[in-house]
Amino acid sequence: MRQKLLIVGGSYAASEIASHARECGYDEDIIIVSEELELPYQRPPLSKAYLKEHTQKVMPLKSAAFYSAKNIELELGTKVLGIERGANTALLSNGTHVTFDTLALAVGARAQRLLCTGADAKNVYYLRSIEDARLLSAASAGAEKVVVIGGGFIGLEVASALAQQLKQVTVVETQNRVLARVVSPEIAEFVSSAHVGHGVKLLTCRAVQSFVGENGVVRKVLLDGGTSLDADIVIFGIGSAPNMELAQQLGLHFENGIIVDSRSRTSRANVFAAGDCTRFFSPFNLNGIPVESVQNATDQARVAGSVIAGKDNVYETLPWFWSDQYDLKLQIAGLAVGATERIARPTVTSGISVFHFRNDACICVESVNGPREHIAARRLLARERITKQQLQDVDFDMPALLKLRALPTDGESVNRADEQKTKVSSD
Amino acid sequence: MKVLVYDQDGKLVELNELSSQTLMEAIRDAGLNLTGQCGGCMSCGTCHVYIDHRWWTELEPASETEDAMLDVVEDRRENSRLSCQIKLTEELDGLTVTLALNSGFV
Repeated sequence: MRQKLLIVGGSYAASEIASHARECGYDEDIIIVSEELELPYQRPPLSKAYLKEHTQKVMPLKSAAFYSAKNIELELGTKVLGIERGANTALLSNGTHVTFDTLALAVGARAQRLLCTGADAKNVYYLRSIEDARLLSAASAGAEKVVVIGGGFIGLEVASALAQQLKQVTVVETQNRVLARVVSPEIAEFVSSAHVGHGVKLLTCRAVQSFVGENGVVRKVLLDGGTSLDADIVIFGIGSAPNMELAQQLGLHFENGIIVDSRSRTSRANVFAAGDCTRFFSPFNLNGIPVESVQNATDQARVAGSVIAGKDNVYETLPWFWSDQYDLKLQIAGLAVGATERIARPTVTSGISVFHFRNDACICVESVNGPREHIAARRLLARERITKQQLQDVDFDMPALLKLRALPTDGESVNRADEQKTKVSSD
Repeated sequence: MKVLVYDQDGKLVELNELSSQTLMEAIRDAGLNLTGQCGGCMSCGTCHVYIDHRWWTELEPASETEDAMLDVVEDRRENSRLSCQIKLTEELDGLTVTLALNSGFV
C-alpha cells in the first residue's frame, strides 16, 4: 500500500517541500492542496512589476510539466476544510477526503485587517495574492489619490510603484519612522528620502481613525489629530498573521506561528510545517522571531522535504531579504534582532550599508544599492564569525574581506584581491 | 527553439519547446539544480551560468547591477552571466550554457 504526503498550501514552501522530497528520493504519493487557482507563483513582483506595468502574467515557480514529470498531484482552488486528527484524514472543499501518512502545512499568513468604521469599503485593498494584485492593479489605473496605510515593505513598495505612475501617494505610519520593525534608522532615512523625492507624503506617528465615504466607497481617510486625506483608493500594508486554523484543529504547539524544530517538525510526529506559518529558533534566529520571506519559505521547505524523504537535514541558513523601490535595491543579510551596536558606511555605489553587531560579532548587514556588500556579507556571515575588528581592518569593505577569506594562498587570486582594493580606494 | 545545458555533473540536457521568458526559468522548469531564489531581480546571484564562447557575443551585455552581483559570486569567469537576465529569443536558438557549481542549493 502506497503512502501519501499531503501538502496544504500553494506557494514557495508547498512547491519546494514536494519537489525537494522527490529530489531526495521520496517515492510515495504527493498531493498539494491549494486554495489558489494558479500554480505556485512568484510573489515579489506583485507589489512591483504588477503595479507598475499592469502585467497580468503569472510567473509560476515551476511549470505544470514539472509537477507532472515529478508525479506531484495538484488540487488547485481547493480548501482543506478540516483534518480529523485520529484518522489522518483531510476533508476538502470539493467534497473528497484525503487520507495521508505525512502532512506538511505550508499554509502561509494572511494580511492583517484593520477593524474600524468603513474599513470594509470596496476601494480598500490588501496585497497578498495574485488576485489581490489584479484587483489593485485595475483599481489603481484609474485612481489619482492613493492612501497607503502602513510604512512597511509592502506599503512602501506599493507607494513606490504608484508614485512612479505619478499618483498622489500618502503613506500613513503609526511608528515614528518607516520600516521601523525591519531596518535600522539610517536605512529607513535613506529610503524615506527617495519616497519624498518622488513626491510621496510620509506621515509618521499617525494612526487612522476612520474612513468616510458613501455607498460603500471610501472618499476620505481621517487620522488622529483631525487630518483628513482625500482618497480614490486605500491600500493596507499593516503586516500579516499566520494561518493557524489547521494547526489548532490538530492541536499543534503554536504561538504566533506553528512552532517547528530545525528539521521542520511540529509537535506531532507525522506533521511538518514550513514558511510564513512557522516560527523557529536557529543559530541565526536566537530570538525565534517570525521570518517571513521567500528565502525562508524556500530553504525551510527544502529541509522539510528532505526529512520527509528520510534524509537528515537541519535548517541553519542565514536569513536574507530584499526590497526594490524606485532605483533603490535594499538587501538584508542576517537578522539584526538582539544587536548591541551598529555602524553605517556609504557604499562605493552611492548607497549605504549598516553593520549590526552583537557582542563583537557581526550578525546583520543591511545595504541599499550595495549588491557587492550584500552578497559578500551573505557568504561570510553564513559560514563564519566575523568580528568588528576584522571588519575595521578592511575598512568595512565586505567584498575585500570575502576575497581575503576565500582565496588565501592562490597567487592569481591574491592579485585580484589587490586589484579590488585599489579599485575601491580610488573610487 | 532549444537550449543546451551542461549540469553540475557535466551531463548535457537539451531543453526543447520552451515557454519560459528567461534562461533561468527554462532551466528551473526543466528541474535542473539551479536556485534562482529571488525570481530574477538580481538580488541573489544563484542562477549563475557560464555561456559557451560561441554564444557570448550574441547576448546583450550585462547591466551594472548584474556585473556587481557577478563580481561576488563564487568562481566568476569571463563568460559568467546571471541566467535570469538572459531573455530567450529566436536568435538564441541553440544557446549552450554550463551551470556554475554554486548556482544550485547548497
